[in-house]
Amino acid sequence: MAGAARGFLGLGSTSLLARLLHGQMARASEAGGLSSQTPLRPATARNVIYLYMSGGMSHLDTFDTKPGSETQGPVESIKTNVSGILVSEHFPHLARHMDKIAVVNSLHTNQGAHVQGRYFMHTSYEMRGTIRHPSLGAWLDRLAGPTNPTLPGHVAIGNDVYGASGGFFESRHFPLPIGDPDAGLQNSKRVLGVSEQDFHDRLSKVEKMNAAFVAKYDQKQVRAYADMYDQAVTLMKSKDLLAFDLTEEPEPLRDAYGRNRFGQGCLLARRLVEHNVRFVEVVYGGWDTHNQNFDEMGEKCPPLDRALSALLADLEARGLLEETLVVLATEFGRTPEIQTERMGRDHFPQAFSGLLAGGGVQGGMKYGRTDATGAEIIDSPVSVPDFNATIAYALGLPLDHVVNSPTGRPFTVAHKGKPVKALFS
Amino acid sequence: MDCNPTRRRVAARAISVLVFALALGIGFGGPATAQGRPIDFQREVLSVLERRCFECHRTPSPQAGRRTKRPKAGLALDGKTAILKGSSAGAVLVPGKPEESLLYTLTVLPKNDPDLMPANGDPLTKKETESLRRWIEQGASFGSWEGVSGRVVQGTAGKDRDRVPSKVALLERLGQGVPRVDAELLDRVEKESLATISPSLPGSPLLRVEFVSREDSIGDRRVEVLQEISGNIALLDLGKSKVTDTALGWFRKMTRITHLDLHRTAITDAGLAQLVGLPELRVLNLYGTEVTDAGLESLAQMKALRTLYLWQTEVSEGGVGRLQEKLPETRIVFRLDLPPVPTNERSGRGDRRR
Repeated sequence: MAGAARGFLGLGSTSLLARLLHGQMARASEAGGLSSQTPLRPATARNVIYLYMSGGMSHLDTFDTKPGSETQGPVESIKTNVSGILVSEHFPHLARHMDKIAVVNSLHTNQGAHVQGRYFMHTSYEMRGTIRHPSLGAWLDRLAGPTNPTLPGHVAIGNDVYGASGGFFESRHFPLPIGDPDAGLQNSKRVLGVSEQDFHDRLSKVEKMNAAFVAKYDQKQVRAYADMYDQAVTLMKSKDLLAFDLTEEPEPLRDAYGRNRFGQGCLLARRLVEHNVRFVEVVYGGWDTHNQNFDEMGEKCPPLDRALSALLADLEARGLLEETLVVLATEFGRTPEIQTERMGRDHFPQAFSGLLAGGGVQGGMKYGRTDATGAEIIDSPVSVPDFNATIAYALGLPLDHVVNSPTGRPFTVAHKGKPVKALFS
Repeated sequence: MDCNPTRRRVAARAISVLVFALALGIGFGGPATAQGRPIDFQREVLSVLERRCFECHRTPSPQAGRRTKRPKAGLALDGKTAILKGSSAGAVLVPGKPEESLLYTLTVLPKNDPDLMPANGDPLTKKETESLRRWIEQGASFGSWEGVSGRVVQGTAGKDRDRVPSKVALLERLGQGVPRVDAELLDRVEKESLATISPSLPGSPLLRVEFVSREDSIGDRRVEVLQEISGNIALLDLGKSKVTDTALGWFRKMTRITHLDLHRTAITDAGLAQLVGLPELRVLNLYGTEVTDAGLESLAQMKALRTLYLWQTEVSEGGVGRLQEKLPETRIVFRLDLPPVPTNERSGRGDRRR
């Protein structure tokens, strides 16, 4: 912003940083959030907790079981609290929450490899060498802005968070990565030996030194650098930093989610959403069950069952499920045909399953169907862009709003995807 | 036989004509061209299609790590539906008319014609093209063969163009004809209350009022000024703030409020009584408050309620049961329904797995 314009608006020639140093609170509108320029659409959800099952989660062993088919293998199906909906025996706890969940059994993709599949699921565009596309969380942050200006709008939890990315957007839309939810937010406190006064002085000096340069080269990339400092300090000073501290939660609750990275990650996601962080992704890897599929699924599913059940119950009790959309996604499914020598299932992009709950979604329903063996979609296919368009629709993001990359190429939040409106109550 | 010599002679003549006709292969009641027995689709036509056509004319399917391979000319021949659908230029098969069916005519072009099909390898043999021709002539029956049913990639996403989620429909309806709050007034209210005020829907005169990240500095004093925009407030979030029953007295004028969030505030049963009569209140969040069974009496009168949150309050299970009877349409969330923890995983037992 030119110096004159800033002065007119009462911001003087100082940055957000300087104002914070002087104890002035940031208003939500300045973060580009609630009064952003993008024409938003009616929303049913504000926040997303995006649970990503990395590796290609088998649909036949989870939410698209085919009792009696020889493609089912040894996994049994169990009834749930919704008549007509079955899940695999690995989900006894989730079975009591199916009234909150919409199961989509007709997802399909044309990307059969992990990196490309994950990319496509996160961005709605196929991977190509010429550009890095932003993922859904970055789009939300860019088009609608954060609700809480002192916290990042986009967080990704897990040690394999490569799907989430700001793409070609400004750096502030990139997700804040949290490798280990137990460790909280690292490097967020003043170093021991540096007093508050020292900190204030040092930052002021930096501000003064940069002032002439910033005024002379008032460009996006230059401002982005300064913005990064602004945001870091804002975060450090935010009392909402406590949101990242899991020790604030009672032990029995932490136990219920499961004392593993994914379980605690889901609990952290709930806390962040409570503090108005809008998009939190939690990654749970290891679903690439080419070998010993049934043994592996027996190990992998229970932590998912526990964590997701605890998360839904927790969000519901606090009234957060009204406006928080919980998504369970993966890059593709796994072959109904079992490879008997290694008891495995291979990649299967033709049909797979995903879950949606909360944020206006109709619970207790199934959408789309595969045939008796789980191999072919026979009803209501939902492409990956359609799935993402549905999430964007819930959030009130305009599906046709074009953002140009730095090279002038146009992109939209869900490419050509169309939302599945039947999923909303 | 002597009684009718003429008839015998006619019959003999007819028989000899019939034999003669059969020798020529002319059938009775059928087309004039040489036909004979019906073509067996699977054995004589499908086998040709599989061997000579499927390679280039297959229904699209994902190839691992690569773009989907599309069939040449948009024509898939590996399924009944696909064949009948034809290519991107139109139908390739007209049952009964082989001379109008590209499926046949392209296979009998001159050898150096660039449009000759199959495009790769030798042309079809005379026997093969004849089988194809006769099959089409005989009506192009597929028998029981379906083949690949041809995934319709478009799907139903995008249908229900005019369908609107119920939450949105409600706010749209309530906002009809409501005068907007003057910008100056809105600004003053925001400054005095420290609230963040935004439209409940883009362009709606109905407002959403919340206090992001500063709830602990919000008490009754701050909230008092909201009375000046009472008629326009649809969503009010005072969760974790310092408001008391006093503030609830002012909310009586919020005739269009649909969502009221009072979780973890110091309100009591007395305050709840003030909320009876709000005609549009759909969602009320009271989790973490001191509401007791006495307060449920007031709640029982809120017939518009669709969802009520009562976890971590002082209400009893019996009280909730009685309330549910009085509000059969209302979803009451009363418990935190966590999955049970196996004893060996409870904290304090040491083993923290990643």
